[in-house]
Amino acid sequence: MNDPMKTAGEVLRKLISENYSSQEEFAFDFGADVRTINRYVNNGINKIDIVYRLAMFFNVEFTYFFIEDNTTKTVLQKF
Amino acid sequence: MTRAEKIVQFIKEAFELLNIDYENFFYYYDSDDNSRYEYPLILPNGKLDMNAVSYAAEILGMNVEDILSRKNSIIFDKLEKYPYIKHRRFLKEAHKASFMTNSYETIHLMEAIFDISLEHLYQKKYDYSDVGKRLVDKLVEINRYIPGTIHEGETLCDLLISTNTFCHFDEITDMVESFLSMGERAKDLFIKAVHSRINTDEILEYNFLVTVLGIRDYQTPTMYLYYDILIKVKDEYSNITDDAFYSVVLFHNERYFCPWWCKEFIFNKELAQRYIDVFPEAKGRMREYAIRTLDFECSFIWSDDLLTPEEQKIWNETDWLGKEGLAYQNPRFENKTVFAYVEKTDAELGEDAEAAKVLRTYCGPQKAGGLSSIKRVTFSEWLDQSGKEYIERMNKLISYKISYNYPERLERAMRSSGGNGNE
Repeated sequence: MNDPMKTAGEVLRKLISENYSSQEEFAFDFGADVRTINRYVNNGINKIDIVYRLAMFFNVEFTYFFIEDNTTKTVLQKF
Repeated sequence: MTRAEKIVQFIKEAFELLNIDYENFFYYYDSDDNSRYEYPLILPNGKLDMNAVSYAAEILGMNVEDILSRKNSIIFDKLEKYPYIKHRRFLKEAHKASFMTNSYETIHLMEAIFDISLEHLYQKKYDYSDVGKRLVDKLVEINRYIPGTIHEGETLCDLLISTNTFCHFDEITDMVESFLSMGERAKDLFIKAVHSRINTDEILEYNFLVTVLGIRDYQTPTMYLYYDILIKVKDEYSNITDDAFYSVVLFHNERYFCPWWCKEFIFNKELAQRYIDVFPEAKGRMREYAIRTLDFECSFIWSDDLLTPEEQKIWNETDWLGKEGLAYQNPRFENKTVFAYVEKTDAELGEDAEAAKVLRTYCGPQKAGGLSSIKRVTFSEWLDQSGKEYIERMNKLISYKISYNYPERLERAMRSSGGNGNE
């Protein structure tokens, strides 16, 4: 099994690409520094509460970020 | 009561009625004994300190003469003109009551009638001990996806559980409209003052808005940009563009206004969008609020992450500058606080459910129904565009801060007058 934190970073990359034209645009909308977002996407996300906030933001389950399939398949978000 | 005492009482009551924190302006912190002290408005000889009175006038947006004549009508005119200020105290009360059971209002009324504290009778809405038990189940679930979340054989220490609720407050729309128009007016007066002139009435109005909105420069976030100092530093703003304005000139007190406490704000998407159009950073704070309405936020430290007595001693003896370096050198000193979230049940969410879901949607991507937030020119980008140097600009602003800022100004005035006021 892959590193779950790295998987979360990959899922984040996918979610950003589906909803925004750039990481910078997402970073502003999310209220974080673009360098932080870049770190999450490339190195993984090492804090549960950060994943939780991202899950809240994208309106997906917390566990969504740790399923490797979600790094590639299109999100069907719940509204 | 002497005339000086009556005037001081008037000043303090004006601060109270207008919801301005008097201590923020007239108290100073003494690091020698770790205490706060009030700067007296009355000198040892019994006379008013006119420097302090003129400072109070600046903060309140009033003429000194109106303060000396204790003109109440000006205070009441401000309350009528600015619903944001008029209703602020009641909004806080409504918000506080939303965390309690229905008995809160009755108990609160009894407190007011009998002038006693009955806080021990307040009953909170939630059973936090049950939340603690559900937290453990949650951690077990998280551990399936993130092995190592559970520290086997260890206990949860320093557990804190927090949550948010919504309140009803009919006046919130008026408050938000008032707040937005105050911000717009302050910006107009600021730019007018920088590029031309503003008259006496406009100066008073501007100063009052500086106080209420907490208007400060990005580089000197503790210095209020009252008119007298603005005209001294106006060259620093001569090329400020509309889309950079709020990145350079901070409306610091916006962070203390949370209209999303109220369902009437949440169910008014047009109003919420207009608010985010002016203060896009508020979207993040709305999200934080939404998280804690849908869930209980739990923070704790695992018992094996607690510092040993020897490590705690080292930590306590390290000054604040050195703490980050200490944590960098030794992972034992890193902040090991864990945050986890326990979903509220339908019963716990109660009438907050719909508002919480709407707020959560607002905080997400625009594609998914979220409020749109347009990226502003940042302070750094504006600085580059304007060809200014960061350090040089900051030093210039700080030099005025040192010469102008209270309470240093009060202290120097007291020393130079030898305690002899002229009132």
